[in-house]
Amino acid sequence: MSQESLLQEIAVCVERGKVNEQSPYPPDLKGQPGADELTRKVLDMGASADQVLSEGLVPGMKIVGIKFRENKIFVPEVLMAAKAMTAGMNHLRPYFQSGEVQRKGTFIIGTVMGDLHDIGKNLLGMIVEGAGWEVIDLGIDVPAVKFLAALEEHPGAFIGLSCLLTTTMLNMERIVQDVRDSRPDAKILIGGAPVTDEFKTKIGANWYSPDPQGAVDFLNKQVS
Amino acid sequence: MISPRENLLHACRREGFEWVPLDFLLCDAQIENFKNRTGHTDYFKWFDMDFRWVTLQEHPGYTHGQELYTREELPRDTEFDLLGVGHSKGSAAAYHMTRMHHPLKGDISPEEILNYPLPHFTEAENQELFKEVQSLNQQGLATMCPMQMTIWESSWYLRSMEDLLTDIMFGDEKATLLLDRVTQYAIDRVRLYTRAGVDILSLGDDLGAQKAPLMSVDMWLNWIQPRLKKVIVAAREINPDILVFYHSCGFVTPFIEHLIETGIDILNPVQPESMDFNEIYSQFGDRLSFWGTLGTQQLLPFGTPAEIREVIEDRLKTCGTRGGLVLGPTHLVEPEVPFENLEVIKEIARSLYPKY
Repeated sequence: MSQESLLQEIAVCVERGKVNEQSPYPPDLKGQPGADELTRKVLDMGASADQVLSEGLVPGMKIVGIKFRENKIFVPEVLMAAKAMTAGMNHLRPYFQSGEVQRKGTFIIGTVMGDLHDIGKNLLGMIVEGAGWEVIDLGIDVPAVKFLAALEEHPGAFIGLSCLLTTTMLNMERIVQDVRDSRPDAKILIGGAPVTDEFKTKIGANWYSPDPQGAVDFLNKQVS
Repeated sequence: MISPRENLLHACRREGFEWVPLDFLLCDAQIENFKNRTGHTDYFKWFDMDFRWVTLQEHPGYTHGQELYTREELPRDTEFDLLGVGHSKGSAAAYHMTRMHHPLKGDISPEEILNYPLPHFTEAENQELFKEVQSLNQQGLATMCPMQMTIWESSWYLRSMEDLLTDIMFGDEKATLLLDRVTQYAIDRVRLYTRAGVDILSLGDDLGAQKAPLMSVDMWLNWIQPRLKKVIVAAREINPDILVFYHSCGFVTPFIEHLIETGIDILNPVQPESMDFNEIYSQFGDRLSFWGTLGTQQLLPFGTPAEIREVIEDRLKTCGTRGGLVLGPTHLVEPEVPFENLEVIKEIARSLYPKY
């Protein structure tokens, strides 16, 4: 199989959530190699890490993000795709560390202070990481000071704020203000069940997306 | 004049009603607001609710919750619920909400699921439940039992959502074992509640995100629906007339037809930010009743009394004189909702009917 075909196969494995040969999911690919084996194989054949990322893993995850936005797949399928993506990415870690391959940028995410929900934030992290970004996940119940500290550590990073409750939307507003007070140029994306585009404008965030792929589109546009 | 119980049950069966049934569930901060503003202590009574919750006495299956967690070091303030799910405190801004810890999360064997100590109870030690139901009925009140998080949610609370979904996607026997054990636990409780004479079973599992289902309908039909059906059948074998209320937050439109076929009578909370009530009513209103419908994401925290009135008028007009509607907030009322907006729900509902 050519390198090109293998890279396409890797994209299919990510899209379908095929982690490795042992994985019984999806049933129709049982016994076949997954993102894990195929990534190793194509690297061994001489493909660059950058090629694996940009022509294999990222295109696969982009289809996942789009299908999720269009309600063609749901949380379980995204979870399996993220596992396949991670299996492939594990082979690329040394190349990231050596600087041979670069991520598009850094995205710092967290569920805002007062909110302990993490499913939406985790899905966002999976899909943005799958788009070739480094994701720094600060977890849940995160105050402004932690976002600022992470921004200090990763200059130029974008910030993603998540919340599930109307109660904590108000904290989101405070966090945006606090971050802006110290870093007026910070690029802040917001999302979560009760959040709207109107609310984004009101609180002075830069972008709102009702789905993770919208965040990817925004982030990619900033670095293109 | 009919009793509150008759009013509620008639409304839920779409057989007419004399006043609009109401339902409120307040968080601790709102209960304090209520007490301070009204001088009363019982908000169910103050809001004229036609029913009361009754709860059976159960014992946790564990002695020390900490023992359930061999793979995770828990924060020191962790408390454990009846299932053994750990809850540690968040920041002060998180109010009553807690961070969840899952005792069966991680690399576990099927035996660990089979041996997991679920709560236990006996009918003999629950004679008070029977008496309480009888006493409330004598007072003219209906009774409802809390059995939400019936199958899917209790299972993922134990195993973690990621691990349970992975088990399901892999077709791993651990998913079957856990879902079956949680289902049997639900069946045991349902049988006792039904024998005690409860009017409405409150079942539910959150199946919806804001604008999309959490899982595909196929996955739900394969893994959850057959087990939900068993729970409902177990209740109806004892009381064929028991009403089944089903809660799921978010967008659940693709599940509704299947929920009706599974035996659901009442859908809650019909979140207006996720689904258009009038559309849902036009599709299903002849076969399903609705409970909630007043949004806690937009309408109640940010709406004016005039806007709340407009929505209530619209709801009552849509449902007409047959009923099929219990009005109330779509979620536990969180601290940001002005208490005035809760008061006006009652005022408006009482002033409008029987106009609509």
